[in-house]
Amino acid sequence: MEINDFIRKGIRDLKPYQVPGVSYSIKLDAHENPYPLPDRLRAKVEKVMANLPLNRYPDPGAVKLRQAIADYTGLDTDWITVGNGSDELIQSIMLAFGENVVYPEPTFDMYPILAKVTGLSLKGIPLGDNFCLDDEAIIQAAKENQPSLIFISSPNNPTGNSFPREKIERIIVESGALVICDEAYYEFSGESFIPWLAQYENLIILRTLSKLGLAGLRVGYMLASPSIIREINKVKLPYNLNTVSQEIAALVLTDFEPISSQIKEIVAQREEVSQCLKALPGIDSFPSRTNFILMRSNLPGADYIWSELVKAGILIKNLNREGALKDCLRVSIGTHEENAAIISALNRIVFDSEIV
Amino acid sequence: MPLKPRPNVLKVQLYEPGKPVSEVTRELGLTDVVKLASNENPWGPSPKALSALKGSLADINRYPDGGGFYLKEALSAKLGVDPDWIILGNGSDEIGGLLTLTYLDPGDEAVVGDPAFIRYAQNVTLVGGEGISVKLREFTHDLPAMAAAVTPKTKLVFIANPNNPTGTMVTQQEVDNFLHRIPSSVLVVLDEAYYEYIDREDFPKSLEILKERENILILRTFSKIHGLAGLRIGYGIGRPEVISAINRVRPPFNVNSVAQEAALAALDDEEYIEQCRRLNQEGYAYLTQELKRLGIRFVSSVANFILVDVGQDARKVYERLMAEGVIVRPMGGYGLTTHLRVTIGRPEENERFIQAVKKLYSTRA
Repeated sequence: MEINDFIRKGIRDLKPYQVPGVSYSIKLDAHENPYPLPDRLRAKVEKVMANLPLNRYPDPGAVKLRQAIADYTGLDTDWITVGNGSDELIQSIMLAFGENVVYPEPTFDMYPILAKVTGLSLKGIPLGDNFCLDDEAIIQAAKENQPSLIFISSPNNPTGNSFPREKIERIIVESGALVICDEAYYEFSGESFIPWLAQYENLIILRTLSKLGLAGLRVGYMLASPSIIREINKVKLPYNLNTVSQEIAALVLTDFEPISSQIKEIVAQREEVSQCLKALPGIDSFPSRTNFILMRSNLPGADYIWSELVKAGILIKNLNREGALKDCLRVSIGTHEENAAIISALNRIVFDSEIV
Repeated sequence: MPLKPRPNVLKVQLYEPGKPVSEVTRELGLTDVVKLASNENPWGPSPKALSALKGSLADINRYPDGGGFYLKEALSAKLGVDPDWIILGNGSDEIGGLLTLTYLDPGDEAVVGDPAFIRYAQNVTLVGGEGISVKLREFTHDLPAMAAAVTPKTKLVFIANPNNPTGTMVTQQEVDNFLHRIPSSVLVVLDEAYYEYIDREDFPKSLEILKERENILILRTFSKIHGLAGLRIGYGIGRPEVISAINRVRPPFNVNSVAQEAALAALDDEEYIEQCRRLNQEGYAYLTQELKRLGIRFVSSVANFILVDVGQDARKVYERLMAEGVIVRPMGGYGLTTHLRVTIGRPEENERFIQAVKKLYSTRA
């Protein structure tokens, strides 16, 4: 027997995450904010950084950052915990509360991946036509597999749409499960479930700063009742979030206006890109409340478009696989120049492919 | 509340970290506080790391390199192993947790020293594993007893070398003898967080051992001599089969981009590391000499901290030292109720500690 014969069963079929080994000059695959930190914030950051004691372990309680989040969300600090990206928080929720995970699919890949990692059983409930949420089936699945965690990303990645509030509320009320609403794209949709936290004890909200310009720093946060937060704090690493991330995130949330302007610009750009995509033959695009757009191309096909874009130095995400995402691609909204470049490249690709 | 936490989670106690300086200044109204509580490098990171850090801010809107390409290349060159023998973590603590997720099913056993770094056992408990504690002998890992504790259910053995909180090490010969008794189906974790501080011929050449044996994982960190505890970055070195198994459970973007850049620069500054090692030895010589003079017992250490036996309730001594503006770490959580762990600081910090101890002992007398 060798040590790897003992890898836990659920983990044996997981594949290590691979980054595509292609070169590109425009990166529109990961929903990042395409703009650098605005000058005003950059200046503040450099000032703070000059005196950070990096040889010291970070504040395990993230007091300053949690206060900034409290001010930003209107909640008390004991309703807040922070993570090394939402990934860590998702994993911590699974480790703390087990045992069955229910989610609509397609959705954020990390829900099923981390469910396997933590050894939980998982059940994906297909989205309906136009990626609508099947609340009935989700409630059913949770009732049949108790206790359950239901993960709902709204707006949803990779489809880009938001789900109706009344459906989500019904799930929270009727499922008997702990319901995790992932608001990773809240700043682009403007819709939040925070007002429900006081009312529903079984609600957890996840947020991230990765889409707002701090992806490299890995800052996610979780909002829930203090009794839930306490259990999560036992499970996460004691020093999970580094000092630089804590400081910069606090600074950005405390002076959010410059990031708000960037978000407004990204949303305006999204609408423009969406209009341009509609005009392209061979490509169907879906409505988005996020900073990316899902599109489908049966002809000339997602694989073809993706590789032609790579040749043009543009990297987007190819989601093509059997099922709901057949021939789908996902493009993040970039700067005006980057968006113009991909629209023009797509134009050329579909016209050169002679499908029209 | 519809959902209760899993029973394993209820068994886990919250980790009690060293008190941050800011908290002590706030709570006690002190301005000049010395922290000797968390085995950090008192000299800070290399200036090269700091300037790399500043440069890394330009790209923080992008996700980090999930594969840690450049840092693994640099570590590979330095350690003489291929990059696929290396895994990066959000601190080596994260890798300890990933290991238990990778290899432990509920009921499986992991052998740990007692007392040793408390996080190993916490991670084991969390996934439903059984931590089998083996008492130290003369404050040192009792490797024969640990080998004897291995059963068919054992998957992991954690050996902190040097051990935290005792500062003691096991030798090449002891590790060799131990490994001969361990089946290849058990992964032996050698946590060498304090490796760069060691100045001993008989310290195990773990990288050589790894080349001969497939069931070894070495953990190292940038939190100690490299002075980057605040950035959270550590690494594991093992056979590609082991590394790729752990990579399956590693979150894809677990190490932030700023830490990767700073670590790369810190690794390169060998002169600075050498200087920190020397200063640590000088601090150790001073502190142990003064403790001897005061008749206070301590455990000889090869690391950057000293386990001190204050011969009374250490929690009280800890609180009184804190009132003097010196933060150390009481070891009650490790079952060492009369011990404090004191990190070796800068000369003036070490003197502050000794002065505070003297004051405390004289008022007591």
